[in-house]
Amino acid sequence: MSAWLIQIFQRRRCREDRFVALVSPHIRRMHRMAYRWTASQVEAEDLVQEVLASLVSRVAELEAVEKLGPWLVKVLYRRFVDLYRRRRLSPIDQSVAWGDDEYCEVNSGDDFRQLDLRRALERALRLLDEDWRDIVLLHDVEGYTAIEVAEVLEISVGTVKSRLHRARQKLKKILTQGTIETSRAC
Amino acid sequence: MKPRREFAQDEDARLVALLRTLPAPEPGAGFEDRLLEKAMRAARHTQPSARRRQPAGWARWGWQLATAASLLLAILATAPHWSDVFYPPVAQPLARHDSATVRPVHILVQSPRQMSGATIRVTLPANVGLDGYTDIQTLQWQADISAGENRLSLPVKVGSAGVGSEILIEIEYQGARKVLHLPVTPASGTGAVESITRT
Repeated sequence: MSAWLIQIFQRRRCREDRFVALVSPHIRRMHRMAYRWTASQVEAEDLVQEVLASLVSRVAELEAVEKLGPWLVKVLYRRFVDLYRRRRLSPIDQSVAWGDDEYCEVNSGDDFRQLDLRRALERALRLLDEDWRDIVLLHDVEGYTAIEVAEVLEISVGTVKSRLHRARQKLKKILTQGTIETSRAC
Repeated sequence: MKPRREFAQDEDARLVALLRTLPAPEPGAGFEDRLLEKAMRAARHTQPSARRRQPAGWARWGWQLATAASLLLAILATAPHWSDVFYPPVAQPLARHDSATVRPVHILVQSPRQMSGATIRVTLPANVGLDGYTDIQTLQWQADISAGENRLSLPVKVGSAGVGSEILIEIEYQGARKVLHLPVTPASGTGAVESITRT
């Protein structure tokens, strides 16, 4: 009886060990992506934790995935949409979400002009449509390929490219027109 | 002078280079271990029961559809009585005017953390109703409450006899429960934040 119990626990531990080995290398990038979407460190951590918790029992499926990094980001994105974007349908008003947890990092090599430009860019990103912003964040900020972005967002590569082009045009327009003129301290 | 296309490519490259420098917080050492431990603990405690509770996709949709249909039915069934509930007899024109007024009440819910799928229950006293939910004294739904400020907006209809009573707002999340008593005061303007609470 006890041997049987030990075997069950060992099997679970083995499954958990496999899970840890599989997802560990991707957690930081998942967190970074979650942060880019939620604009909050706490929410990003909660989101990643929730996704991981939902995947613990799906080790075999994870092992069969060819490119696990983008696949995990795809799961993360779906969860983000479920939790954050669809909740706008509820009477809970989420208008305070974006930009509440603005993160500023000052490196010694940064000059003020660069910092100012970055802040202006962050604010310009918030002016983009969500669909365009998602693509810019995945492709230009995080460096996923157009094919990977198409996989994550479940759209065609052509759509990714055209939206990316239009998003960049709009970003440049906002930045050059000086739509955002004020600079705030962090 | 550079051709137009080449110039645009340069601009794109500069923009992408700038986008690549957008900062994101870098969690400290041991972040992965901490997160994985929490995730696996959550999975051990919640997944089996959650799985038991979760019906199949079609069944879940069926339930949602059935719930929506019954709610609609309840609202339609009470439709003939709406005027009785919200409009007192014609003999009291002033009271009629008071009771017909919708007063939006905004409640600020300050949450220290994300609460996905929290249950919100609003219990109304007699002579107080929610616009669009006539004859329903208790309304319950699930919502995702984010960390920070969340605003719950209730279109409250207050009858003259309802002043002085209390609206009960309960928020439940993972066994924890927060109750807020919101006194119904005489109208003092619309759109005001009536109460602030922490959950």
